[in-house]
Amino acid sequence: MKLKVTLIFVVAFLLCLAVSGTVLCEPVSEITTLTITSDPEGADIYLNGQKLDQQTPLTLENLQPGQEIELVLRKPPLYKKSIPKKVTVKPGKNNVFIPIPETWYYYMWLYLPTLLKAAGMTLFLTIIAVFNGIIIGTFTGIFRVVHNKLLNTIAGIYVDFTRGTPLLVQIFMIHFGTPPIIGHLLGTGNPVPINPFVSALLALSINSGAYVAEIIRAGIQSIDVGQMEAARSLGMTYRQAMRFIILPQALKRVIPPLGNEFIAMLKDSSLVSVIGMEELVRRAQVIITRTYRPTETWIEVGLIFLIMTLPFTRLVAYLERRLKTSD
Amino acid sequence: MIKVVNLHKRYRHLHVLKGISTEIQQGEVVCIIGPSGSGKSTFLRCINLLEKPSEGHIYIENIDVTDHSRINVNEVRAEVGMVFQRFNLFPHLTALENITIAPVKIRGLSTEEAQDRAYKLLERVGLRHKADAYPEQLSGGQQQRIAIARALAMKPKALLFDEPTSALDPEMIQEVLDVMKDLAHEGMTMVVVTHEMGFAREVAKRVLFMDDGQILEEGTPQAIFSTPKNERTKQFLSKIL
Repeated sequence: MKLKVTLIFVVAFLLCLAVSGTVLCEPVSEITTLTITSDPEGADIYLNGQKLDQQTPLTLENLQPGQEIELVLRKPPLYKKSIPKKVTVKPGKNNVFIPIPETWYYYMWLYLPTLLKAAGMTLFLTIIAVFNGIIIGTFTGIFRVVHNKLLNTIAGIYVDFTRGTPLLVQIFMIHFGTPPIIGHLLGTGNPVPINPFVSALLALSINSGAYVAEIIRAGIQSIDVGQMEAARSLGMTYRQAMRFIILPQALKRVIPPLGNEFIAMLKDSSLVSVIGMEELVRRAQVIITRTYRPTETWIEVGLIFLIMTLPFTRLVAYLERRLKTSD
Repeated sequence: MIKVVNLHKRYRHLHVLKGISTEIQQGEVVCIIGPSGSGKSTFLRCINLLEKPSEGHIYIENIDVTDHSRINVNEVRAEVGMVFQRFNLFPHLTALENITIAPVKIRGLSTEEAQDRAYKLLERVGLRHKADAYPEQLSGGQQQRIAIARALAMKPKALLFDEPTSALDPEMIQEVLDVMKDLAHEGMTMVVVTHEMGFAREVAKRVLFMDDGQILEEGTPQAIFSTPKNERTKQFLSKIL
């Protein structure tokens, strides 16, 4: 896109140069001209409300110096009417460049590939973070229920801290808070900056781990105590009972809430845009600084998020229904 | 076979068992009766250490199982089977797997050996055709019979029953009691907490009447049911019979 715009500028520039070149080479004439260029080219020209037969780029001749004209360009169906431009014709050569804004649907279409690519990053980030979260959370969740004070405490502090502080703060802590510590540990004293992708992944994984831990804990504790007693009465150790009896049942119950966690993480991952991680939201912000079209961009971003979450929402609902009937 | 000496169990402020002493012989069937909250179940659960006794000693084949420095709790439990009021079958396993899992994982039996044993046990409780059914597909009575087979698969020296028929529909009680009677006739050592006075009268060699954490009276079923000596026993039996 960027390339295309630049290219057009270059072409327009060369065109102007060529036009002025030919003019310069010729003997000075008294003809007053107006060259109309636009982005994109090939637009209909309305001169004082009157549609001309030709399209941009176009050089109008036989104009009177001092004449005032109003130009509006149109290029249906993908572009809107350009903002009316008033031109006061000066003697000699006049140039006017008029950008024509895309219609909302063409704008969205144009930026869709860029945004979808960024959405792919969001999805990738979320999948890896939740995957890490499941690994961290399974251990932490088990640590919260086993009969071991030390493990209970460590897991408890981790879960409470992570669930009790904003994800945004956690992201800042990792991205901006740890570089000085790493620098200090390395002995140089200079902060060691962390790649935004690494910070983002770390923050989201740690955050997800705590929530998954609570899901796993709840899953384990939702299993009737009679199951543990029956397993122990057969002579199983606590470990065996957990592994063969409790966890297989708990993990089944845990699947729907894990789906919900994935959906939540998909949405919350947008927070890493603040540290410059190029995901969907960050990409949209960058686009808007260039196009000044926040409305269409944010609506499009919202729709992309919705399309990503909807299948999972449905899947979770389906799994919940199925588990209910089998319980 | 099982000898209990001055067993106490306390939960914080609650004194549930207040000095239980009794002895259960090899092949004996003992029924424990008594009102709710009298400590019957707690007593039973103490025998296979699902509850940790606060005081006193339990000897199983002359080994003090309350001495944690010398015994492995898990090995004790493997020797004493337990059947629960709510069956507690493993819902994610089939009937067959419910029976084979402990022998395979704990006794180290091969899957074939364990299945062999399991099919024989299923035959014994009359549920050979339900081997591949999941617990949720079985009636309460069938589930309890599977639970008994599961306990038997570990070849326990004794079986403890914690109100095995209390959660059953009346028409399913008999099928479970029949299985228990067969076991009793085969010489299994059984301790049964029950409200089934008919069963106690017919099968038990000895009946213990418990109230308020103590054994108030014990004797043959005839002695307890026909000529109870303790006032509390009389009162209880008059309400129940």
